[in-house]
Amino acid sequence: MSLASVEHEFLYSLIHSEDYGVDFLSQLVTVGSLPVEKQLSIYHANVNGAHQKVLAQVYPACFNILGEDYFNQLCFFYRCEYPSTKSDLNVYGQYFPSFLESRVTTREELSDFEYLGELAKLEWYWHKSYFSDNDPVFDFENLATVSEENYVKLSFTLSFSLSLHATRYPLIELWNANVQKLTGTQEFLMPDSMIYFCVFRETFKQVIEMLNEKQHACLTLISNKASLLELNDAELQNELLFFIEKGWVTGFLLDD
Amino acid sequence: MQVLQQAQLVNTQSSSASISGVGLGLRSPHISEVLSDLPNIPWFELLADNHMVEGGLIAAQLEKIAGHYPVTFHSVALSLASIDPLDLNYLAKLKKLMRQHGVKWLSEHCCFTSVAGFHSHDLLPIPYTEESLQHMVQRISQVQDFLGEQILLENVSSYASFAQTTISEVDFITAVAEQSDCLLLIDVNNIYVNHINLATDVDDYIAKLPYERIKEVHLAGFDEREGFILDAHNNPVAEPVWELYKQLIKIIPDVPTLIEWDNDIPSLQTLMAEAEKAVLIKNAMMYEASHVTG
Repeated sequence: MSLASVEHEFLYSLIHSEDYGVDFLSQLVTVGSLPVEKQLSIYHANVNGAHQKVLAQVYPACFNILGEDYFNQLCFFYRCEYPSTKSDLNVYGQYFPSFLESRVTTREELSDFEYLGELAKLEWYWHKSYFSDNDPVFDFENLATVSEENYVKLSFTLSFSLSLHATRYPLIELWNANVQKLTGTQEFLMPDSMIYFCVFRETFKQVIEMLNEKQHACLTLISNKASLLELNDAELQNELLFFIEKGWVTGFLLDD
Repeated sequence: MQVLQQAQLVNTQSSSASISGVGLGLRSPHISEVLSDLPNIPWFELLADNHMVEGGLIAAQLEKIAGHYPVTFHSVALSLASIDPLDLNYLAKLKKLMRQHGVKWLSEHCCFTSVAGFHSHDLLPIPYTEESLQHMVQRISQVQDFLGEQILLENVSSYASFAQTTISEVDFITAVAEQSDCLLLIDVNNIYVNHINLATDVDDYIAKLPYERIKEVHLAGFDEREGFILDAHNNPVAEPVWELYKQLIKIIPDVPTLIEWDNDIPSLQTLMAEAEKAVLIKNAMMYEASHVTG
């Protein structure tokens, strides 16, 4: 068997369930104290462990809610559905929120956890902002040189670390309680209206900040590359200055 | 004894100094402490993959560490043995970071971690055959050409014994090193783990190594499991591993050594105490060597 075949069979047997590795076992021989089945099972355990560890670190609140055993089971199914395609383990969990959202709708045992996908999103935003690129300082001088007729082409860029979210669940309270691993029964009141917030990084530290509906809408417009003319509302333009001060809006673009 | 005392810790605490003595694998729980106290440690090895981030604290910390200490990079995702094309983006990022921070050298493992675009995030061994040998030589040459410098190839702990294998591990890495003109990082714990799990001959291994190519030695602890030992880097270096280390250091006493501890990470003081043990062994062997030759 060629090196290519060995590598393919070995890795595929690890990505999929242990049963998948049966064919690969014929490539191994028992030496010393390890039978061939044991050889492969050690790698299964190592690979599972590495992936579980990463997801548990990125999603501590989900881990706390689901418990270690169930969380690890989900990690295994997630790995089968979304095998890692990047060398960077920091990005491995990016599809976990949507994976959880779909699980919640299809698995009866998760029916009480309809907020889980959104909670995972919050955890992903938190994780992502920690590693995101440093932002440039807003270039007011250059902005002042943009003529009024070009405002239609002028759009703004958001901080690399910024993520926006709107929810009908008390997500931040849920997240706080679960990352602190509070014990006992916790009760969370459903908000009367939608909650808006953003996650971003101030120098080195991640922050969650509440937004009002208008701010959320304005930041969403900016993230969709709305031009200054589309933001042509006195209130929105005031918000824009506030966003620049906060470091949420970090630059601008002039589209040709 | 005075000679030993003087030789004990060659801590330059200067990023421009060369790599010598016994360094530590620096992991995130200790970075703040190291940067505030600047302990007497001659050099640090960093897991390059942990520092290949776009911005934020980790990027800033790397700059500070490399400003105070000589630093080497150890990577785990280059997938040297993979039959996939080399990830040139990954390699370019590594090269940029190495140049930016004056990293002394890069070490990688004799294994693959990915194939067909999928990543295992584990160090997977390959059968040691003539085909694998030629493949590794070609890949390492490509990496060295790209980086413009020699890399260090590390022997891995393995739990799989391939039916196709026709070459012993030590002969394989020796041949790879000679044909690709790379250097070697010898992990003594890995030699021991393979000895226990796969019944390899440790004395033969140590005797056959190409000593002139060994640029670094790793020491780590294993975990006892049911029917095997796992290279878990979660314990102090075990006594039989210290014995093997003595065997090797007797032959190459000057070789820089590193303590690796990646799981259940203890205090920095505990790591420094492990390093001190290695220093004592190195000094004793250096003294013995100078006594014999002098």
